Amino acid sequence: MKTSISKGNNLTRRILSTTGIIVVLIFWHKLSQNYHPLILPSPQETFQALQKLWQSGSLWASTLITFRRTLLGYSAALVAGMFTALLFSTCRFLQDLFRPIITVTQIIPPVIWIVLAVIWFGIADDLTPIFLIFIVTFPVVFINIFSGLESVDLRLVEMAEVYRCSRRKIMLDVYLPALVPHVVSAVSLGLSFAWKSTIFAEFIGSSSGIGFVISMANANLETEKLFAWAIVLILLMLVFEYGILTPLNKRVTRWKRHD
Amino acid sequence: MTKNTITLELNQIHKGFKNTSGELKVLADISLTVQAGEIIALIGPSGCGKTTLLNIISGIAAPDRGTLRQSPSLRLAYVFQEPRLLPWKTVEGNIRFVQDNFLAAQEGKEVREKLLQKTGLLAYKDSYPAQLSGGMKQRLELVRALAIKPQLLLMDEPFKSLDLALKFDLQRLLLTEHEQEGFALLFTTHDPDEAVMLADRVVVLSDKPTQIHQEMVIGLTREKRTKTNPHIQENVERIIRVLLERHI
Repeated sequence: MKTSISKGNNLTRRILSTTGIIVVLIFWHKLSQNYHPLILPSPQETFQALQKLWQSGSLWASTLITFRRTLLGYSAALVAGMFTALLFSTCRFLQDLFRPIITVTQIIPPVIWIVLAVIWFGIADDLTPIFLIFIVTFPVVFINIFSGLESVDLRLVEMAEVYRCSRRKIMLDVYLPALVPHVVSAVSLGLSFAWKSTIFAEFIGSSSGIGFVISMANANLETEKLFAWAIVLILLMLVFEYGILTPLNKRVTRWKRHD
Repeated sequence: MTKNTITLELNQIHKGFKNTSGELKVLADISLTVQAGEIIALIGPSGCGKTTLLNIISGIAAPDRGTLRQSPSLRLAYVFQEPRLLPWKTVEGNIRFVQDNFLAAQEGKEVREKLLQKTGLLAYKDSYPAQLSGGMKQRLELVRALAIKPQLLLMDEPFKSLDLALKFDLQRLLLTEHEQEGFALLFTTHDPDEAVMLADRVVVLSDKPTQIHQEMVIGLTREKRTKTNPHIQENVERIIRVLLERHI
């Protein structure tokens, strides 16, 4: 009974969200009839621009470049963030010394970093975007993992020690599972930051990648291309969020569910 | 293990904690011997250091002074006051987490399933702690402790906040297992009835700085222990008198 109600609710929710998208498309179509395509291209024009991007190979080429940079910068931030959090959690001195610097790094707006990166590295193909991703996502990762380490229930560690569990077993079965949800949350939060940072950096300080082609479309007044890229970016983020991160998060926190 | 073998010996244990107004002395000169197979109840006012004493015995805390003698291979289990279960492990996983350190896989499985069956938890062996009620978690704590076939079992107010039926069920299980396995049991309680009905010896503790105020040997076999038995009533009244005399 309960299952059929929740299935019914799910179906209603899906119908409603699909209707919402259709309403927006109709509204967009109607509105675009009143404006020049330079101001607001129609959904059809946007779709044609998308088709052209696909056929020319530019869609995949630019996406792969941006994806590679995001992956590189973000992996570096993830490793450095985790390592620093582990180090700080075991050394109060380092924590007191460097914690304020990490907080300040987080406060500085990305636009300052990108201007500085262009001054320092020039319009480099890879270095400027990778630097920005690293500097923007490192504090996010660090803070998440660090708070995860601080929230490990030490009473469980005591219990494990009373029952003579080895150090290795305590690390693998007590610390690690407590930390995993924080790592997934750090990955999830940081990745969305990283993705946006790469495009921003490519827009200002690079000669390839999605950000760069968007800046070109902007310079050439190809508004329908801007719209097409916006749709590509939305789809990519949705695939990451709902195709990878949400199922991963559900998997690592399945023990939290009460049903 | 036969009786009259010493499982644990505490000698002049002292323990204090630092607080804002200096040092708070909790345990002052506690000496206690636990024989193999013996059941001892520790009873005393709230905050007198009963949990601290169990923590010292289990190795969680270290005494400031005094010695603790036990065999290095002593197999010790601890039922904590609040369930300390790993939320990411199933009922079975929680038991195996500690059991694998002591028993071979096959023996472990047999012991585990027998205990789960006896406590009505077998049907829940694949559930996570978040899916269990408070009483079930308490049962699981006890099953986990018994599942390692301990030589010394420590229990910190194990029957607190349990409904009457569950409390009697767990006490019956504990006594049956004790009879079969012969482990020594040291438990804390606030309830004089509980102490007298279960223990061979009741140790009454004073308020802080805590010392052993009185020790009472309950010389009746368990079959004869009923609440209407005059010997039991007399002992319960004695404990109440001692506790009240000490302004508790």
